[in-house]
Amino acid sequence: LEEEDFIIRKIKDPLTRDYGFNLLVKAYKQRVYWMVRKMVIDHDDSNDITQDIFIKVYQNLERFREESKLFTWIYRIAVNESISFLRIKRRKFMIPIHDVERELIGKIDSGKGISGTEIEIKLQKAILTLPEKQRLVFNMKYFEDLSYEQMADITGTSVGALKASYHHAVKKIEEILTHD
Amino acid sequence: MNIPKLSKNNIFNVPEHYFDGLETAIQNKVQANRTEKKPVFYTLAPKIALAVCSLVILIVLIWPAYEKPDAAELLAQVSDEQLNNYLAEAEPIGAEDILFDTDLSDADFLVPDPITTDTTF
Repeated sequence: LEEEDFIIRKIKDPLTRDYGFNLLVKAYKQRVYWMVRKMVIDHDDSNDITQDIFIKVYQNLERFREESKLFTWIYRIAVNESISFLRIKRRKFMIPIHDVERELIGKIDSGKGISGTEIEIKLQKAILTLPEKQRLVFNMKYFEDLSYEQMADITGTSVGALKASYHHAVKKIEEILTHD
Repeated sequence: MNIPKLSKNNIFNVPEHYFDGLETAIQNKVQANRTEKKPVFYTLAPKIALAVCSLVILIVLIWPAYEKPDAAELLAQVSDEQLNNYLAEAEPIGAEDILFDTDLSDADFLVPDPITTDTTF
């Protein structure tokens, strides 16, 4: 938290804004990348999206109000970019949801940039069958251990709705893994 | 199967030193983005120039239609004979005409009232 305050102070001062931004990239690049990677699976796509996210962050630094935490604000941009990437992909190729899922599962099956036990890979594939927002909620809670309050700030959804969403996601994944 | 008990290992890999390169790539993109962003004047300059040129052309084309010839030039176009005929036929200027053209509100014009302005008792 102290680090976040320090970065915000640097960003707020126009003379140290660039320095503050470099600190911000250093502090959040990995979290942002992994969040994106779990959503879009492909490394090259994740790389492009992560770069775009930080460009957007830079362009909007002046608009950052301390009403939300810096991490929450960056994460919100990351979530929007990832979801809009998947939507554009879907629209661009005129393919239904099922085919995007199949494409992402295919990337896991290809084994490129993937290494895990059989059950870990099965889990990832099961996660990919969830609707994208449910998938996002599951990833944030299960892998990143974010609190429901943090997730509510990021997604602009109520804590109750997030709890229900996570519960449904867990049930569905359990069902898939049990039947597999 | 109990999900919370499953491994939370990250199965995805990235190329070696990827995150060091990512930082540089972001900084380069930001730099490129900043140099691309020209000041507002430069982006608007062609539009401003076009507007000014159009205005100049419009003025050049329309101005002659509104340009009034000089009074001396107009008088020079009238022959002495025409001028003499006009003066002979024109009615002389009377006192009424002078009064009509005079601004009565002009303070200098007013003759002071001897009763109201007399201060000697």
